[in-house]
Amino acid sequence: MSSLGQLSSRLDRNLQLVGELTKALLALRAQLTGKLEVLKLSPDDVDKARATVVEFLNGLMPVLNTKTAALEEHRVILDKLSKAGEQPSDWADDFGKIIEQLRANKPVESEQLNKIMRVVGYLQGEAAEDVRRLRSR
Amino acid sequence: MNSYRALKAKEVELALAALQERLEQCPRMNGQHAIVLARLEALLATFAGELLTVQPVVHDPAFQTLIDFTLNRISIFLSIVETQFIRGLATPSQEELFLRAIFLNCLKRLGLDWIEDMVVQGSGELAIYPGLDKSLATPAFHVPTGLLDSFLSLPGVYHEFGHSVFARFPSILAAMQQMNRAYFDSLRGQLGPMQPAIRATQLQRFQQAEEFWSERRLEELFCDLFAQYISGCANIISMIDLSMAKGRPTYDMEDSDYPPDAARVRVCALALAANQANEPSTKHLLEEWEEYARQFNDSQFYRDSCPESLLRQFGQSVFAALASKMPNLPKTQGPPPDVKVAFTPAKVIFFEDAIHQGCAVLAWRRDNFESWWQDARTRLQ
Repeated sequence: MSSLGQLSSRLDRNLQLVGELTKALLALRAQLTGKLEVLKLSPDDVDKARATVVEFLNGLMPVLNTKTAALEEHRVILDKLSKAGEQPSDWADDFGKIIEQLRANKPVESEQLNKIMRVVGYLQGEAAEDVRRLRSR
Repeated sequence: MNSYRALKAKEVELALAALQERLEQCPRMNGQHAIVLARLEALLATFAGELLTVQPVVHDPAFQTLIDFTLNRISIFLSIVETQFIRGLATPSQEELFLRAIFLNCLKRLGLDWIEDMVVQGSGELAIYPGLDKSLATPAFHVPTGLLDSFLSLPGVYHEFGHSVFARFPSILAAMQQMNRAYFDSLRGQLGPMQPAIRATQLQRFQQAEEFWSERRLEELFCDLFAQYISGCANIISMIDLSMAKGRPTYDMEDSDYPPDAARVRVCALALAANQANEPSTKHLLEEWEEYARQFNDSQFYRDSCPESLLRQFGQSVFAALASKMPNLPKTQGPPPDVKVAFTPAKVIFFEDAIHQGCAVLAWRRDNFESWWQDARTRLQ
């Protein structure tokens, strides 16, 4: 028996999340830079993107505030933020503001999108690490 | 204009096209692997679409990181398809095709009906790649060469199926986590009056023990219990073999993916029904394993994290979840069958029955096991 089963389940979940968030962030970035048409995206896609990001940040905020993660993807983000010397509760505050803006259909700033991209990057990095483990089996 | 992202996008596009071509060349006789191939082809077509979509902003600095995410994700998927699926699809051996048919029949009987097709690939060890792109329909199953020659490891096939079940029903993990939390909350609640420093030490021990049960370890424990549910005493023999065959320290707490072997054997033993636990052969083997385990020292951390009362509750929680989520999953309630059953002539023998009967033959007619198994494996279905 090998740990491939759990490794691959985790990897697949991670890739799903990264994929959904990347698409959502592409739509929000396209709206911000006026490139919706170039990327063949509609206002409906932007609405869906807002909902995707809000759902993700909503799940993450209590984890950052309590520093307790039940899900692997949350644990990864919490670990990496802590290792980078960041205060998870500060990030929770920032994400709280972003959620409010997204819910009110107000535009989010580039820096705010970068902040979300940083945590998505942590998940992407973890996926790359899992693939490395997969290859070294 | 040139940029790293443009170069990388071209590389990914070429790798994607090459993989699409290799899939096209895979044999498809008698509908073999038809569902897996269709699914992989659809997935690759989606990626081709994604590459086309992001093409207009591939040079745009505002999109750099998102382009990186997109290209990396697609590359990772291509690598997964290449390492987990292609060999078994392109050049499957007779043994791999034989095992694929047996496993698919077995999955159907067990009620894992969300699995529609699979690839079996000889890769050195028993393992499963259960899901791809959110779908559990077409797993890749890895087997050591000559799997059927390692009879004691066969219940491990159920353990691997268990990963698919665990992914299918996220509420099982939630129930196990909830049970773990409640267990340690109860211990915290039972602490009587004591000096603050001693209390703090106790609380820290409980905290570390609770955190030991990570999602990864709970998943492996679930898979052991899933195999236990289906194969009863046969799984106990397999778990004992897993623990003893490699001489691993039974109380090793360092593996971040697995609980220690002692907890894995004991959680299954504690889940045995009374008539299974009292079956002479099973009872003897468990006593032998306990004696083996005594040569290793357990630690306070093991005793805190893996007490029998907690392991028993994990077993009860998983068995209750399986009965509720998969009411048609056959549970082995009794001891191994009478050995005479194994020698009763039959045209075919189901994989699950072969495991039960084989254990009886090994226990009571060991001298006949080789000839029995040589005959039975030709009738496997």
